[in-house]
Amino acid sequence: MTSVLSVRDIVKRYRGVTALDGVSLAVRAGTITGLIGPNGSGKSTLFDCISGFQRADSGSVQLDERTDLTGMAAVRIARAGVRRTFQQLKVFARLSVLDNLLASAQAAPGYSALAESLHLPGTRRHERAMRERALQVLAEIRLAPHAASPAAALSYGQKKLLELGMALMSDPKVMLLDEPVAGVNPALIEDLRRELVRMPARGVTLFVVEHNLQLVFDICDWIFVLDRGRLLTAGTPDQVAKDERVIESYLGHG
Amino acid sequence: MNRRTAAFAAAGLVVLAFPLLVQSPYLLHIAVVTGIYVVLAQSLNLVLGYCGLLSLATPAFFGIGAYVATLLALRAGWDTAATLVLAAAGGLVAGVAIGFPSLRVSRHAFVIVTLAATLLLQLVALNWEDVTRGSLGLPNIPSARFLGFAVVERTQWYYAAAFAATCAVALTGLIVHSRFGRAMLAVRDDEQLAAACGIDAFRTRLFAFCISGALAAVAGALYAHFITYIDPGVFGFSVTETLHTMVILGGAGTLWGPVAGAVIFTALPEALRLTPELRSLIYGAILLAIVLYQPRRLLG
Repeated sequence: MTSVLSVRDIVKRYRGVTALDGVSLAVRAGTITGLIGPNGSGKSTLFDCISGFQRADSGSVQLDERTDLTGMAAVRIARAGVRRTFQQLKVFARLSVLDNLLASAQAAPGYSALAESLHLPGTRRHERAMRERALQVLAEIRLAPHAASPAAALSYGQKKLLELGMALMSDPKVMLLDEPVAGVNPALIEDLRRELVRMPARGVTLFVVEHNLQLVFDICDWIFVLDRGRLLTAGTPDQVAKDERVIESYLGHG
Repeated sequence: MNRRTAAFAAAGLVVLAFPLLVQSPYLLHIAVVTGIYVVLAQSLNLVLGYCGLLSLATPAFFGIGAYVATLLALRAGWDTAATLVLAAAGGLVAGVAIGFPSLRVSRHAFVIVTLAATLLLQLVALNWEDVTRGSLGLPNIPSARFLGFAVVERTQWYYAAAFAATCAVALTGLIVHSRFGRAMLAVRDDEQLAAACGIDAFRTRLFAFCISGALAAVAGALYAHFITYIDPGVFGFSVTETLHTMVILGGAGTLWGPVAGAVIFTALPEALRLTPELRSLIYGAILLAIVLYQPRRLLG
């Protein structure tokens, strides 16, 4: 099975504090892969380094074992097919729910600000297709009734759903989800879970950071455990659940 | 929807019939200035309203447009259709020159660089006397002449200005209702999320800034042909104050808000004949109120 993401020897230091100390891992295509570890173990930093929001001090990241993402700007990594969400939930608050989805599918090939501004025929066709797609995604995440309302008006859980829908709109190869169900009530967690497990069938590989371990062990095919900037262990949910070091690391400096 | 259409039709009729209703040359003069302000307001609206960037370069673009058009008309006797195009091109180039280095750095750097550019250009206009005659200014600018058709009468000027204002609104509408417009709003709302969506904040802002530059330069060119005299004062900041009031209070980031703002804040002081001192006082109070009650608008 091929790796959609190959991370090699990523090191990231902040003024003497080593956040990531030579992390190497591979996320296999078509899987839901989890990344767990206690607070401060470097999970979000690793996501930042993969997605170009922070630059690693050394190490490399490859997409599909072909494209070298190392040192690329975040925008270009996103366009290459790596879509991330943020620990601090982000939506375009003042745009409508529908426009949030459309903005998320913005980076289509051949996009030209001038052509778009002049509403050239090709752009209209594309816009229509995107609008249809967005309405379909809205229906899937059950936000269709809110299409026209500003994203700011949604509840927290609905924003989480929207965030996922936005990620889906951009047709990524891999999604880096930073705590997709944090702070969401149990009923909505179920909705989110249902969406998450459908992603591989949609051709999207998931790489998930999540503190809700029950969910992680439930949906993931493979789990990596980080501890203090190093990869502690990795394996199937069963293997990781039995690993004493994992429990220790969670209890050890909690 | 019907009411909206009716309101627009009524407004359109008033705009068309205005010279018939009002014979006063003074009021027509104010109306022409208002039209030019609408163009300027949309220029600022693109950057301030839709990109959420504080730009102090509007006078720079305005001045460039005024000088480019003036020099081409005075020295080379060019037709106004051509001087307007060249003025717009000047604004576009200035937009790249100012925006390219500054938009990459930070929003704060952008504010400072736009301010510096305006001050610098004013200095150039003051000191490059061979070309600009410095503070003496350039008088006797020919009135507009489009492809041989002279615009001399105030009524003719009125319709020319109304046409320019309409074009500016239409252009802005076209831009903001496109996918590019959505990119601008996305970048304004959350730059990081925009990046995660693959939207290049720098390019988006640069493009908007250049269009804004071209619009303001066209306004400057129209102003020069209408007033028939310019001096380095066209780079001055008195216009910026008024303009920010128009856009922010009219409704930055909306299509018609700045139009309403331009009309109200040109007409009101004239109609009520407020003293300049009082105007400054009100302006200050209003700006303070905005900073206090809607700080996200400007600082977001």
